[in-house]
Amino acid sequence: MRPDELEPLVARKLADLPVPRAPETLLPRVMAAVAEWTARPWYTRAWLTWPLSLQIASAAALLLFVGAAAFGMTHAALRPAALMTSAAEQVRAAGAAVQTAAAAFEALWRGLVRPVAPYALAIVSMMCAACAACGAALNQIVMGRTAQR
Amino acid sequence: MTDAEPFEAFVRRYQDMVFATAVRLLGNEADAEDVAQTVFLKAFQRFAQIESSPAAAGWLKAVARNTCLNHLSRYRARLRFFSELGSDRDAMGEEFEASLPSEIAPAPLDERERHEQLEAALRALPDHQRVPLVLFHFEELSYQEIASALGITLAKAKTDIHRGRNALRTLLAGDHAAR
Repeated sequence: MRPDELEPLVARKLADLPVPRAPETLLPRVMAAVAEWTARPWYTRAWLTWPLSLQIASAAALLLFVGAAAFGMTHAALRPAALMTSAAEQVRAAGAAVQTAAAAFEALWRGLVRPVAPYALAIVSMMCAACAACGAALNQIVMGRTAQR
Repeated sequence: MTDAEPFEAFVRRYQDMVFATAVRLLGNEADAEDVAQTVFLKAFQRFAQIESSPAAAGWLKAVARNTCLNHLSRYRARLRFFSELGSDRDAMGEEFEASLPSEIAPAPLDERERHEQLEAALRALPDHQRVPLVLFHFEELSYQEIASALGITLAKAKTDIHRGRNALRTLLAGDHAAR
């Protein structure tokens, strides 16, 4: 048989073949599978086969969930900035407290300490000089006795 | 949900067509019955849309074909491997041809028997020859469509179909001579 005869011969012979008959068991199997599928709860089936109202409701719920997740993620992304703002505010508040304390100290210095400060400094200096003189005298006495021994 | 009776009538009308597509592509009646059941279950899930559609037969055929190809896909890597082993594949083809009856006794065979023999020979072809051959002759796909559906090159699709025809040649030549 020539090669160019083969294709039309095969095509003709295969086209002449009768359509194979489905086995008798196919229809009962299909109907049983359909009954089993129908008896299953709707949520165990593929989404595309859900009732339309449930498809719409589930799509809406999904959108809501995605929206909430997106909002949550955005909020979480803003939290560090909020924390930083809070820290800056705390630093600013601490700075203000230090400023207040310094102002109070200055007021106290001006009103109470500075007027008596020279006198206090003179007294402290005299006391230090007295202590030094006493110490030197005491040292002379003690050292002189020791040297005399 | 749809009533069972119209769907049962629908299955009765198309079951032979779906089963024929499946059994010729798969070469196995048990697998073909499983695939046909899957196809009709999908049809039931969309029965409201396809019940009165003039495209129902085409839809069923396309779903059956795709389901069969998916079913075969788990073997496709192996199929490709064997198919691309040049000498081994030739040996397989020759082995298959040798298994065919070399002399078809014309007299005792009536037309029904010849059809049964050809159908059996077709189903006995190796997958990599039978599937493209069936897609070409029964599903009326082009070589390019077959190559795309099977994920093979155009040249390989043509070669596999040619080898499939060659494998049936002995049987057909005997049949041809008998007429």
